[in-house]
Amino acid sequence: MDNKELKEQLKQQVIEVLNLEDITPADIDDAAPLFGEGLGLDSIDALELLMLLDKNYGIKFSDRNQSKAVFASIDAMAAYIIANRKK
Amino acid sequence: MRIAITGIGIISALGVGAEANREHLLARESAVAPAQIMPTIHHEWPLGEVGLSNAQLARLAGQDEHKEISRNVLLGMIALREAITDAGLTKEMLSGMELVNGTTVGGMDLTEIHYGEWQQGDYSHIDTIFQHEAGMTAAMLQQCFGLANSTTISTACSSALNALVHGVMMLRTGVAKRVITGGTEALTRFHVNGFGALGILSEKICRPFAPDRDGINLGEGAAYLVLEDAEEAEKRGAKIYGYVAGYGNKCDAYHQTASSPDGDGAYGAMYDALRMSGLSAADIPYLNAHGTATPNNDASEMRAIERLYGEKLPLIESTKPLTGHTTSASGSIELCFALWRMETDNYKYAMSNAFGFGGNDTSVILSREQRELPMLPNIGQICMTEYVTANEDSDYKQYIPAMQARRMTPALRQLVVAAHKALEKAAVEIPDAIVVGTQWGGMIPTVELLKQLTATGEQGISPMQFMSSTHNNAAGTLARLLSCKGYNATFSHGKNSMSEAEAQAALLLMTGEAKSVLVCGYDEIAEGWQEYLRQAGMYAENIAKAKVMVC
Repeated sequence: MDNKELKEQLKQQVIEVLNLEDITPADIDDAAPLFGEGLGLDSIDALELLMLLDKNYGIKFSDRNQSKAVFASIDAMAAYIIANRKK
Repeated sequence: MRIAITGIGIISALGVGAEANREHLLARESAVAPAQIMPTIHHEWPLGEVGLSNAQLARLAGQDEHKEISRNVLLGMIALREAITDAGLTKEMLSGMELVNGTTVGGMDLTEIHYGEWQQGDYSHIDTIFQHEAGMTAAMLQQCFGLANSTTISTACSSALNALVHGVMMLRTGVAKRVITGGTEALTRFHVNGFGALGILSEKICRPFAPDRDGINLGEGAAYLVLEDAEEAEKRGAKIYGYVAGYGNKCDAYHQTASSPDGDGAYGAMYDALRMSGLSAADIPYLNAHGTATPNNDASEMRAIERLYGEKLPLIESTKPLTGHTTSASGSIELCFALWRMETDNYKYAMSNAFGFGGNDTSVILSREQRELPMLPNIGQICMTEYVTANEDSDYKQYIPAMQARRMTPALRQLVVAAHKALEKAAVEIPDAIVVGTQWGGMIPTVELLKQLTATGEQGISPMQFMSSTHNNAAGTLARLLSCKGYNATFSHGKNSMSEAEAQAALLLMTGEAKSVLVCGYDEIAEGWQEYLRQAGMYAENIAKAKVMVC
């Protein structure tokens, strides 16, 4: 799977796990921030995304604060997954 | 009118009964330790367990230890029996009295044991589904002690303190002369994993208000207080521990679980309690804080305390490092603690806080000496609209922002529509208070979590589903969407849930605490669960209806 496919798949998974009903993958800008001003996600969403990374890619964080940079954007998440995925 | 406290019964990790609890409280001995009783894989999160197995509790409660009785009921029975004996209540008195109980877990401990069997079609233990309902805990306690009536408030971690407030309102309005109020909550894998999923459990003994605090220790227990019209108590020569001098409940209307940075709800609850008592903050030297030791709660609560007290703070104590956070029971357990502190440290007054998910914030002020509550106002006639219902086709999008709607089940979305329509009909923009009745609470997220818990064996459940599963999620959501920061409560007492909510609305109007109350009924059918209910001869309905009561 190349980077583009991974990002597409990731967007689908994010939409599904966060119930973003009115949003399609095309609405999510690869480089836009997911939290705060971008999509407007909150800290509970961050916890759901941690579960998503664990379940789908075998990635665990020992310190949850570490994950902040990873969730900066879809680009950042995809780069981290490629470098650290266990499945 | 004066409200006297004439009986106490308590069980917590600190021990069985008032004497043991008082001794360990005053010695500040923590009973928080890795799980020994509850079967769980999570030994990294220490708990405040009552150190007795269910069989041992059943023997203490005088029950058949081979019968499946929820731990919640067993803890409640032990504390309730002590309170009744302590107050010297006769059989005849009990037969005319009501129990106001606070709980959220109900019989979840039994449900989580048997859920996997039901999924497989094995219904040999389906009878335990009766105990699942939060309201069934109170109903079983009522029956056990021959009480006339019972009701259940479920506002998560402020449940027991709200139960006490409800009891005080019953006395103030003359609906009752004496009541038993309090709460019970047993540890369950369901909520231990839920709080864990929210990332707010500590791996050490919790450190409330400390700069390095990093979360909660959960605990369990039950406590009941007998409240009486002081004149009645004096007439029968009852001993009086103290008096309720004021109370307040406010909704933070900020987030499903987090408290606002300025602690608006907490401040409002303490402010209202103070105003009712006629005291000033400086008169109250001791505060038993909610103090869960999460970074968020303690910062928000401290901000609220500083807003109330200014520079000269009272002695602020959180007893949660001793007992763990006993969630729905914490309000009444910690009120007992405040009472004992007041007595041993010779304070004239004490305040106790309990805050719940959805920003449901409650404060109660105790007085050692006689203290009158304000007279009731003349309110005129109570008027109400008919119930307005909403169905699946209702267009909720004009009322609910998409980012909020995504965390709401269809029934909850419909409820918001019904609430708006009822308010329009009554020409009320923002109601003074919101009261919701729900038999089952957030059943769709609850079932989702039970499936996850069963399938993964405690390896990760959804934090979003957990915060939506509490019974008072609907009332908190309505408060947020309607910007209603006034009184907020949820009644969960079987098929009577709606009528109990209406009765509470009437009490709010009679005491002058609200001039307009939004009353809602809400329930939802969850896939799978409906079949299990059918196997036990029960059923759930989709309900989304609202009305407005004004005076």
